[in-house]
Amino acid sequence: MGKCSWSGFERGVKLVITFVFSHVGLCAFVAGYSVAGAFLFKELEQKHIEVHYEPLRHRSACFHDLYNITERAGEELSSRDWREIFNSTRWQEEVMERLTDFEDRLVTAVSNQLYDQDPDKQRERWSIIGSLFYCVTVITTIGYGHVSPKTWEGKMVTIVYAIMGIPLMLLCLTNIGNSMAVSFRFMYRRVCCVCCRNTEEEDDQQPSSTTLQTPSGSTEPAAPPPYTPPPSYKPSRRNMLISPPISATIHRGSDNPFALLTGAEPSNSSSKTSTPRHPRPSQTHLILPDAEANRIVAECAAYTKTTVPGLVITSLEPSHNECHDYDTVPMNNHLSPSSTTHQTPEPSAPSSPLSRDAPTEWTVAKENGGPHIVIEVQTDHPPSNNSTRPGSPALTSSTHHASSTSLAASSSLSRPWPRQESSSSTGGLMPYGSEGDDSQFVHVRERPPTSPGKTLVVYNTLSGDALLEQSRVARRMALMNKGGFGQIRAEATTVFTDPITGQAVNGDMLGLSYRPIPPDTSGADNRVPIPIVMAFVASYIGVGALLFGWLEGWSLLDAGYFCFITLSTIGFGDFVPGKSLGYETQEAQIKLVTGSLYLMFGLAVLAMSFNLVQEEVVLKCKAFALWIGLMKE
Amino acid sequence: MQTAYARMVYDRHQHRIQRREGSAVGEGRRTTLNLKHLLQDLCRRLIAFLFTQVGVCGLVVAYNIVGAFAFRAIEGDFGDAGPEETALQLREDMVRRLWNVTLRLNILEEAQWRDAVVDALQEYQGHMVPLIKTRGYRGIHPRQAWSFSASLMYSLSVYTTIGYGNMTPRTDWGKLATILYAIVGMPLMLLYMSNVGEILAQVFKFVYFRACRCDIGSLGYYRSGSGTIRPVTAANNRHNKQEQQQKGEKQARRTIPITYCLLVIAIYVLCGGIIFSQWEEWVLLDACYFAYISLSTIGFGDLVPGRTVAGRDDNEEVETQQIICTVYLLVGSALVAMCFNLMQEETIENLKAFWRKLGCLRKEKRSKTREDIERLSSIGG
Repeated sequence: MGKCSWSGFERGVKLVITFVFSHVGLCAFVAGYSVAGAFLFKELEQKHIEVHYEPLRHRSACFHDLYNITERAGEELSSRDWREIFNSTRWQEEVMERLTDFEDRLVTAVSNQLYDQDPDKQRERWSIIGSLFYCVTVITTIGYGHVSPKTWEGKMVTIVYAIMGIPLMLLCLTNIGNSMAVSFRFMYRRVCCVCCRNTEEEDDQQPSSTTLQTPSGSTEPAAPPPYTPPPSYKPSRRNMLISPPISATIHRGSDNPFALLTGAEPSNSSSKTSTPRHPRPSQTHLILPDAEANRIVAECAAYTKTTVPGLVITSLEPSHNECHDYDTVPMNNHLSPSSTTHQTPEPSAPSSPLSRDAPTEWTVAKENGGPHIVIEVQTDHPPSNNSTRPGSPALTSSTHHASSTSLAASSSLSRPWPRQESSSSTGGLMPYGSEGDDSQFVHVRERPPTSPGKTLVVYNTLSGDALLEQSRVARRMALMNKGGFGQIRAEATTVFTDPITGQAVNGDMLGLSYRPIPPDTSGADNRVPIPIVMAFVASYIGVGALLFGWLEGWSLLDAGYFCFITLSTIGFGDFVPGKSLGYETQEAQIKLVTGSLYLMFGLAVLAMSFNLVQEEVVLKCKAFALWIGLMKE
Repeated sequence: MQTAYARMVYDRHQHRIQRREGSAVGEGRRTTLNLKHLLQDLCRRLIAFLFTQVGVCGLVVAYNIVGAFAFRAIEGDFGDAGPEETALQLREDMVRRLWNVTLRLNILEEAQWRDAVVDALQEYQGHMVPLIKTRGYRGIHPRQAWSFSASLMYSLSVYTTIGYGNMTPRTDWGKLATILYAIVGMPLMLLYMSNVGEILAQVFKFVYFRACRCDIGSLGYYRSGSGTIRPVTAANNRHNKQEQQQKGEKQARRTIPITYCLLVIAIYVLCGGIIFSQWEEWVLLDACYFAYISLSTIGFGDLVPGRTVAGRDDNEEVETQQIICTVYLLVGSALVAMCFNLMQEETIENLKAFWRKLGCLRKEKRSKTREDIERLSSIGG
């Protein structure tokens, strides 16, 4: 019995602690902490206010001095001819000096918040709202200094309070920033989806229209029936969240070093000669032996069997002459006029309910036994994708293909796959590996519903050094790519992302054992560009400037300055909301509350923007460091 | 800024873990032949040097000094002296009024004189207080107030986000310059903190493990070894092995307990407190409070060394004090960064263990994958 109740208690404690460290709990905890601090400081500081009411003392002292001066003058006056001695100059000088002294004391007193009209009003300053604002300024490390503790208890408590409170606030802000970043990405994706794709279309057509003109647009309506996602297919939204800005950058993929893989083919070289090459094109180590490629295909099959609704395997060769056919193949294999396309239905696994809904197909386009195996995992569900593309599918698909290789190349940040025993479906897939070729490029590319964004790269384990070399080179390439130094920015980084759950795929689930990249980095490819985040923060500051300019009657520059100084947690304290009113009136307290709300939310916004920007900045810095040779890999 | 720094440190920690697991193979740089390339290389090296520890320190100091000159020029020389002129006007008016009072009412009529003077004084105070409060009158002409050392402290307080607020820009240009200065300066400070903090952390670790931990560990090991009098049985052997494993783990972890870090900070704060209490004739608590508030970048500004508020005397001494205070704060922030660096590893591990223990965080999967990776790397390597 006792044990039972103890375990129940333990569970309760666990629940409580889990709640505390969730978002809501953390916010509530911070709020509670600041309210508790408010009461504490109110108690501590209000008692001792009279002691520190200094200006009265100074004024009386000044008055006495003045009296003395005048009395001395009066004595002189009474003793002799006062008209001559009692010239105003000396008296005036003395009085002036005394007044200056008084003024200095006044300045000290006022700037150290010791002055106010009378102790009662001064006590108002440590009213509950004033103390709350004080606590907020402490734990956010702003520290306006518009009120500060005067008693030694207050100072000690402030130190302890800050030691506890600052990390707490940091934790809370980071948490809120994370969740806000997620929602911001979502919003960005939702809002900018359409326009980005439109611009992307234009981007696509610009470079490719010179060489590729195929009349295959008519094949479009033959698209497979739309894949209707089950209600649990949430991450498709997440996938949608991802692509357009990415593909927009990727499609200019011709200056990518890995475009050279395809660029080595004579057919594609015509469209790619004009673009700059990577200085180190020699390091294209993504070459796998034949058997390895086969195994990769098998693994992919295992992968698709469980998770991916559609899979297209395309094997291409470098010596292929017609770029049209070549290019159309990976996009819509079953639609392309290429005669060498085979379609084999995938043995749909009964275990996965999705594969039943989705039209799954294994398409192997094999022309002259090429060295490429492009495995495209294609969830071809949204018909809107096709409808929004005005141009011929051949165009888009060609660029897609070019991007797919570059993507695959750049996304090799992922860990090399471990050696894996071929699964049960291997036998059926073995023949698709091209026979008689020395090497193959193997890319497995998972296509999100709308456009190609994410990539699955399959690396087989070339044991030992080759593997290391491969991954290293690829990583370096990806780094330089992402940094945008001389290369395109292929942002689709991480792979092995399960399109169904949107999470990193666990190896066991697929029957493979590779390392799932944590979802934190897999969210990297739905990055929001830095200028947009900057603009967001700037607009927040601008809104704050307007708000406080209206509320306080400051000029726009002053209000903006106040917002910046506040949000950067510098906190000079020359502008504090409600300062001119002396913090004691109702109005001033309302302003204080507004200010603290603005401040808290603004800090969360800043944390969010750090979250959004940081990864890209780090990448850029790394690429820069690589570029200047400061950092080695 | 705090958030950014925390994120940065955490990320670096993660990267270190990854690097430890993954393979780090260096690659030699290519030699360049061209003159242009040579120049480029020179530029790169310069930039590379600027981003090393020494370079960053120099950069921060130079930035600080440049900022000091800039703010001195903007606020001091071309600053707005309006409040000072108003104050002077007020003072002269006051003297004239007092003179009139004294002339009109003879000193002998004491009660009336007293009333009049008190009234006048009160009115004077009523005029002065808004001037101080809202217009930032500090009793010194800006040219004196924005001395070099004071500007140095001001620019330090801007880019470290301390923000004392004892001196604030009055002109529009000063405000704009402050904003720009902060925008550029805060990332620089972040860089400084991370770089210098890292290197200080390494030094501290080295000293710590050299000075105390290694000796104690080996001592304990020997003692336990000598403690076993029995002949070495299989069980004993296993026990020894376990011990060795434990020791290996301990050495592999190589973290410094949090209490030591806190102790370092506390000692630094105390030292600063003693120094400032000597100079400024503050109470020791006040001085420690100042040091703490500064190092935590709260920066109330109620206590600021140098008496920039109303100091008119002993300028030389004040200047040196302010410069030393600036150096103290710079070193202190690096020290705080070091402790952050040392503490975060330990803290993260502790927190994870705590949560795992409570069952709030499911870590098994991750650790499993990590095991997988280790196994893989052992196979591959």
